Amino acid sequence: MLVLVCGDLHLPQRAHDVPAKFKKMLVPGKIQHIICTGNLNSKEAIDYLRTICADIHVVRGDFDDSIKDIPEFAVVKLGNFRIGIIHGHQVVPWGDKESLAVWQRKLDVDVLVWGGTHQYKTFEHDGKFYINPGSITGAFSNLDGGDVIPTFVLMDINQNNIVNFVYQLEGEEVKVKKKEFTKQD
Amino acid sequence: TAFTHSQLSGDHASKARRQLDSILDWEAVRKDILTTYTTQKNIPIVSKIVDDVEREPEVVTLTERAKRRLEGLEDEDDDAAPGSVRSFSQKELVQHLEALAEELEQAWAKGEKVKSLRIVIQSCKMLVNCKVPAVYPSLFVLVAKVLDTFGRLVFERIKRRAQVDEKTGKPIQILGEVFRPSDIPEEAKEMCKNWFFKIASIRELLPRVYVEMCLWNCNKFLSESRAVFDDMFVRFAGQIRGMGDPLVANYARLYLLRKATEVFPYDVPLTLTHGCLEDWLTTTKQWQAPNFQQYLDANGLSMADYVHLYGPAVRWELAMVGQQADEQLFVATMQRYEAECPHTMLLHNCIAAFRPALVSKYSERIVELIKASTPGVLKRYECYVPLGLQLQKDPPSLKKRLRILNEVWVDVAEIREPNEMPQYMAVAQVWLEFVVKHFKEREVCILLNDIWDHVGQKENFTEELENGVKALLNILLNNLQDFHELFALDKFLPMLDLLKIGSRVELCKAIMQNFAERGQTTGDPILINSLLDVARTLHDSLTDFSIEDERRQYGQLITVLMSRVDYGKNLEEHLNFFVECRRSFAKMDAITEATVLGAVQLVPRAVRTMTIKQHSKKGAAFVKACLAFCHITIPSLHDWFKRLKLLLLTAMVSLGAGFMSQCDVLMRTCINTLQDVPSFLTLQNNTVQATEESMLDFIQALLGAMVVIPGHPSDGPFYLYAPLIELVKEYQWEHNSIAKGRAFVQILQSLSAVYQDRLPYHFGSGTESNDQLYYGKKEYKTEIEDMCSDLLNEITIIIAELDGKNDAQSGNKMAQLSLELLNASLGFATPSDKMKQIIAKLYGIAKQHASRQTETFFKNTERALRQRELL
Amino acid sequence: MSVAIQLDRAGSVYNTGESVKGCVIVTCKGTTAHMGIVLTVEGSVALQLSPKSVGIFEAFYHTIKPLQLISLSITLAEPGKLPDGKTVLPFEFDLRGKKGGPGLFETYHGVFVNVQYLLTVDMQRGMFAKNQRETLPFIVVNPGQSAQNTREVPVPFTLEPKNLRNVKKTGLSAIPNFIISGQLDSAVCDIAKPFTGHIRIEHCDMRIRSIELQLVRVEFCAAAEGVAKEATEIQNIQIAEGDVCRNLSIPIFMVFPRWFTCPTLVANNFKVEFEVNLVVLLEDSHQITENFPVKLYRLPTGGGQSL
Repeated sequence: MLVLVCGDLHLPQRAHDVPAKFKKMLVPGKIQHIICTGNLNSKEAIDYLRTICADIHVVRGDFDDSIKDIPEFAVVKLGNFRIGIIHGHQVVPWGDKESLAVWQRKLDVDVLVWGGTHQYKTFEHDGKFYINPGSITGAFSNLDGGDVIPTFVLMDINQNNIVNFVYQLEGEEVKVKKKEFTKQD
Repeated sequence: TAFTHSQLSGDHASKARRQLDSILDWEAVRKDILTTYTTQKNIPIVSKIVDDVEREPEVVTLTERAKRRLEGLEDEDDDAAPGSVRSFSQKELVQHLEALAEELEQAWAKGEKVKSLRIVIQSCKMLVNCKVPAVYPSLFVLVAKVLDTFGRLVFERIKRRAQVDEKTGKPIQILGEVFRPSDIPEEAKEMCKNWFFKIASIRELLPRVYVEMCLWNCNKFLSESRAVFDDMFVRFAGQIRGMGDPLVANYARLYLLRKATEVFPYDVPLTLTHGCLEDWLTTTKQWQAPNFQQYLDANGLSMADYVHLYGPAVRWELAMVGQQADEQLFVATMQRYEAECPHTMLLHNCIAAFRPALVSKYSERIVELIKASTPGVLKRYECYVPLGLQLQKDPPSLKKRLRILNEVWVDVAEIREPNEMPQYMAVAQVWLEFVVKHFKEREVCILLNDIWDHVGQKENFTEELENGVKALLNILLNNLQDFHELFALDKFLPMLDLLKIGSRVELCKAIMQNFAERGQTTGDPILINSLLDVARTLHDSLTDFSIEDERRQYGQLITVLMSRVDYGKNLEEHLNFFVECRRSFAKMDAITEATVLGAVQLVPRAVRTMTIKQHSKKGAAFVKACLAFCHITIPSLHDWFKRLKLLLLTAMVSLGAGFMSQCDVLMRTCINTLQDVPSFLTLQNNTVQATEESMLDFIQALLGAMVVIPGHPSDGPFYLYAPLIELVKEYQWEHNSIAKGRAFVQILQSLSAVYQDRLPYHFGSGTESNDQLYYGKKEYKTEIEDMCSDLLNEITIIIAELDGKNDAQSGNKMAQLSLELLNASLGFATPSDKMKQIIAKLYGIAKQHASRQTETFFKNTERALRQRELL
Repeated sequence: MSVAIQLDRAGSVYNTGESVKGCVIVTCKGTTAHMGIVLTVEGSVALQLSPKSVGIFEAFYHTIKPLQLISLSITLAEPGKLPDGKTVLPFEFDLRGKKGGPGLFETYHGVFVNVQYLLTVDMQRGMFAKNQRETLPFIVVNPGQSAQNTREVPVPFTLEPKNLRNVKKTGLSAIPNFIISGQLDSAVCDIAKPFTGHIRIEHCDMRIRSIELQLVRVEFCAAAEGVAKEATEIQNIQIAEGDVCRNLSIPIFMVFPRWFTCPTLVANNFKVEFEVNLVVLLEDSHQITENFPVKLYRLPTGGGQSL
């Protein structure tokens, strides 16, 4: 099962569009689910995601107040995994392992997806897996001078195993990294 | 010449055929005919169902037959029966035939085959002697519907018989869309043949031929021989020649051709379709018959009106011929037009029907023909519409193209009559598209100028013309490659202004959408100004009554425009642009917000252009200007939390850029604003909304930032924490809420982060955070410890209060808050003994009050506590 | 109890020379004794003068003895008992003319002449019970009937006032001027195929109201006083409606109706022949008629009618 993990689009306030190179890869019919960490900022951004796949699991980012009916957090069961999703602005300090672990315990999940920092990051902590897909549009962030590399993650879920492919757009080049996670029984 | 199975089931829709499908859209033609060919007169119709079929072929002696003829009883006997002729208005006629079609379905459903056939025959008879020719095309399409229904019913019936055994009700097979005669059982074939025998004995020509054509498809049960289909076509076409009224005959040909496209499993051969066209052209000499003028006079028709009645049928015939015709046939047809039937109706349809390459090749000659033609219901220059469309598809060489454009426009420009303006616009639309696609800007300008001369006056500007202008502008919008060109056209904006406000807004929206879809960025001041004008039209059209979605959509479009503006290195100009936007779109908070976000994003770009650590004076001034713009703009937003978030964002950007005092000011403003947030907001619709949730949400975001914001030289390292703690205490949290407790827990977490010798993250390259500023200072840590114990105290009070309530709900809340705090304490580096005691106490509370909601959270927390050996 | 005859073919149409198969179904309540079950096949030509043509009394006296074409008797069961419920007795016979007879003719129903075929089953019940009888007509198609000479004979024609046979020369001035030409593809016609040809109005002063084809059947029957003749219209088909375009050829096209036509039949004391009248009706109710005798045949091979 292929799952697109992305977030922090900030369309159109902080970015024109999803990079064309990404759009070409994200064709309809290949992806079964989308996990989105929020800050879409517009209905048009959700409409775009819907063209890729209708099954969207999205949470509210701090700039999503114009879009209605988005929950603060969400838990989805995909394959043998419980996956928790939060935007991340509510994690103090931002991106802190321990603080994220609180959310992992609270939501009782195997994988916690968060965003907000516009920086791709994954790690394993106490047998749980954490993913921040970064910003798929490379939207401006308040961290580190605003320079953001557009990134997203494709998760290939097979029973107790997840293979994560991280796509990064550096200049005109798309780079892919792979990271695997196996659930411990 | 049986064709193979693969031909039938495979790609039997050839290219020519698919093209025809799009041209020959029967439903569209049908609608068009019904609205075009109307009458105010009453239409006499024989409404009695005559029994032409029911009586078995009558055996009559010859002497008897002769006697009947002499007495004039024959044929007319049914029609003349008193009360059988009724007069219908056109509307009633439509209803009558719809009712007949329905009656047919019902009779069929009841198994009344004879009655069904009678209804069909009666309908066909209406086509024989139509007393109001002006409405004949409409009558035809109405009857055709009844026939089509009958054809479908019979076909389905036989097909069902081939799939299910009648007697036993057992399925025999399942037939697909395509099947072979060899798949069809004898019984079904027999049924089919019986139908054909029955129909072959219908006495009158028209009903017999029409009903046979509507059942043509049923031949597929009997034969797959190409020759059989071809032969039947030839026979039908021949039988149609027996219809003396040329108008009646030509609509029968339309039915024949239409059915042929449905029935033939291959392209209808050109020889057949062309034969139909030839037959029609031959019969036009009947218009010269001596009593023809009398006929026209009697029906109150001019020759032009009469010829116009042929339009739909001729269009169809020509379309089928034109797709396959070669040059020779094209030339021959044009010659026959000139020699035998020089009416604009035919010329117009000829131009539209043949392949663009042929029309293009002979375009000069065609223009001559158009100029020489005598106008009918279709004006002479209306023939330029199909010509323009054809030339768009196959433009002639550049030289010839220009010559033709001149030749045509010399003629078209002459149109001056106000009542002809709609037709002028129709020609203009087609030719503008041609010119936009195949000429340069110069020609586009000239053409637009001529159009402006014709319709540019506000008086006489009808709704129809307005729609025309709208269409013209859309053509420009959709066809010009470069957006700059659009606004460079000197008549574009005046034409836009010509539109009434509703249409203008609609078009402005289209322009903005088009721009958004193109995805191009621009720094061209003319284009940007023009687009801002367009955007202003949208903005200014908003009122208090505008619907929310419209407001949102416009906001979105304008924001996209703003994101596409890029002045490159000229950042000052960019900031001015935001200033301009803020001023222009003051009614829309979304735009105000976008200007702040835009200005903020200029800051790191400005910093990057300045050499590191050496802020050029000018650069620094610019950054300050950006930050000042934000600081001034943010308070004008209506939404408290939008303001707070943008203040925080701007503060963080200032920090990242190394502008400490700006950051400080912004953070203080932020805290001050936060203090002012009321517990409840009154919304536009007069409902009241609590702010608590948003408050907590923002405090969390704020605390994440505060970790890295350095202290103030005179106000100390925690000058932001103290007022924050204070305002959390003061804010009117909802009754029984634990949000306040949660806020304290978050502050604790933030403080525990700054307690560390090395902060989890830093900001900017030139800024020092508190870990560097206060490294190793004892007072620094003591102060944090004091604050923490104060906070712990506060939380303990909250828990105690809840404990006092002694109910399940409060218990649950106690458990939740305890768990939050327990989890926060897990992050503390090395908990003190006092802390360990607190942890043990909290664990007890959480365990005692654990409910279904907190169960898993509790278990996960317990496991983590054990791992750290805190239990 | 009941007796029924069933044939194996829907429509009950058989070609001569074929074998006719079927069964007799006897349904009994309780065991039933009988004196034998016999199926008879009868085919005959019945000739009857129509009261219309010869008057009621002559018609009565001139009934002519039917001519037998086929007569068979098949014993389906010897005397005995039938069990309770349904008993199926199959039969089969060859459809062939009686020895020394004229052969078989096609089933046909005319005014003088009737050719019909009948199956009859008789069940004798002895002294005290009612005999059971059931009959079922079946239809015979006779491939090869009148097919001795099937060479197509095209018949071109031109109609002009001067050629009219039934108009006196002096009356010509009252008749509008016209030239009508055309052709029948053949006067010798396969009954299973449409009757075809074309007609062209080259000239006609008067407006035309309608052009029709009239199919006429002529029966002859030898009677005591000579030969009785009866002509009937069996089909009238319009091939043109209204004032048709001049010099455009219009197809003549007519399907021979089933059951009312048969291949031309010529026997010793009767015949059935066909004619086609071409009728052009003018607006003033004048009509121009041309008569064409036609010979119908059925092709020897291949059974049934097809399109």
